[in-house]
Amino acid sequence: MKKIWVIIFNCFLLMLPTLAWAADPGEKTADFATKQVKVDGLNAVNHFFAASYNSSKMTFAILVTVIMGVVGGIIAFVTDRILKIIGMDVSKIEHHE
Amino acid sequence: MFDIFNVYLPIAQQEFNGLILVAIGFAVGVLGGFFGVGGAWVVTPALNIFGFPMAYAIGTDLAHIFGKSIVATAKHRKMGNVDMKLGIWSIIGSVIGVEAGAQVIMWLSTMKIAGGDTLAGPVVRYSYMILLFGLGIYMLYDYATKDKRAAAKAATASMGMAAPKKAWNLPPMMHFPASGITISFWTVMGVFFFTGFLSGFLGVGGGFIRMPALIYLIGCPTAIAVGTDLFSVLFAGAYGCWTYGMKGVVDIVAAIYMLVGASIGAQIGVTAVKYIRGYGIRLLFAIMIILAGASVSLKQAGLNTAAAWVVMGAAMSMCAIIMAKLWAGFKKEKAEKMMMAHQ
Repeated sequence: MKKIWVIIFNCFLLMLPTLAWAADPGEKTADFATKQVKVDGLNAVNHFFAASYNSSKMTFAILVTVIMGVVGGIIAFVTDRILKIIGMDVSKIEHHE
Repeated sequence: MFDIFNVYLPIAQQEFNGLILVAIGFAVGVLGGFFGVGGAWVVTPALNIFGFPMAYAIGTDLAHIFGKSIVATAKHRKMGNVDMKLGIWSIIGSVIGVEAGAQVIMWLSTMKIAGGDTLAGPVVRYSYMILLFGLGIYMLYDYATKDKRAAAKAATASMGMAAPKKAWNLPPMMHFPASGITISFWTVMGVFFFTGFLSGFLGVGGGFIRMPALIYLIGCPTAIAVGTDLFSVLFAGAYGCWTYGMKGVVDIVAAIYMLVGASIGAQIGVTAVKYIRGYGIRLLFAIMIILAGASVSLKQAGLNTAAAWVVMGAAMSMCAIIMAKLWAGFKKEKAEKMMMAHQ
């Protein structure tokens, strides 16, 4: 429980530095807040993403964050298993400088 | 020929080669897992070279960095390379510093120079170059003189003299068991405030500043500096992913393709840390940031395409070196295990 609060608190702190993240100073992101993308003729997956994007940017942002976390977790698990099978397993290491 | 790999990006509303996205993700994943950095400074120019719509480049990059950091941090944690307590302090100190750095940039942006430009642009570009070259050269010097310093330390110990104490022991003192260090709270906060300030001032994620700061200013072992830095990148990436999603500039399909490559690359990069000693990691990092500095210099000279190719070439070469080192280390370990089994 304590760990969850620490994570939530850190997320709150991280909301402050939006201006400085990963862009050149003064570089502005174009206003895409009201942009709509076409959904006709898209396959099911793309249609789902495009529809979420059009309906609400908040929903889209949550969707992106959750998908990135889940896909990252799944690939981590699978590749970890594969590396274990080929003998490239890792455990705690000694730190040598 | 490679058109069969083209995929439709529903948010950017154009076709792009999926293989290129996976390849860029893979290269940055290897570097990120190995050096403990997000790698936005490699991804953005790489996407630029291949004609990715730039309006979506930063947001898409940050989204995949979040997913990749989960993979890399989990694995580093398994290897005992993440100092959670230090990581949390690094986030707190950095956030305050980033805000201060951003405020200085806002102040510089109000000062006009000849040609109608503001003072912020040139100050940031030159500071960035000085930082990259300065840090890289210092780390190369540190690597070149490591044997001399080890000999001097051994000589001091053999004469029964105590090693000099660290000058900053101002209470309260903090103990970080995972890193095996006890250090003043003020040093910890001062260092992370400073790295956060540079991050906010230069407008970068800051992984490449925090990693050497953890080694040289805090005193972490190199592998723990890499893992702990990735822990901080994870939180920053999560926020970046969400906020750019809100702005509508993340192409989720492109991010997933990059994440697939990056997650596999990150596993390789992290595993390579096991086979390369701390000073080896520092040497490769020094070379990488000097080349990044060269790329920024070319950009400053107006040679944007050359700048992008230099940083991408450096990333690909470094990636190949890391994978070769991993393979050599793995083969050696396997041979040693077989010898042990035969005895």
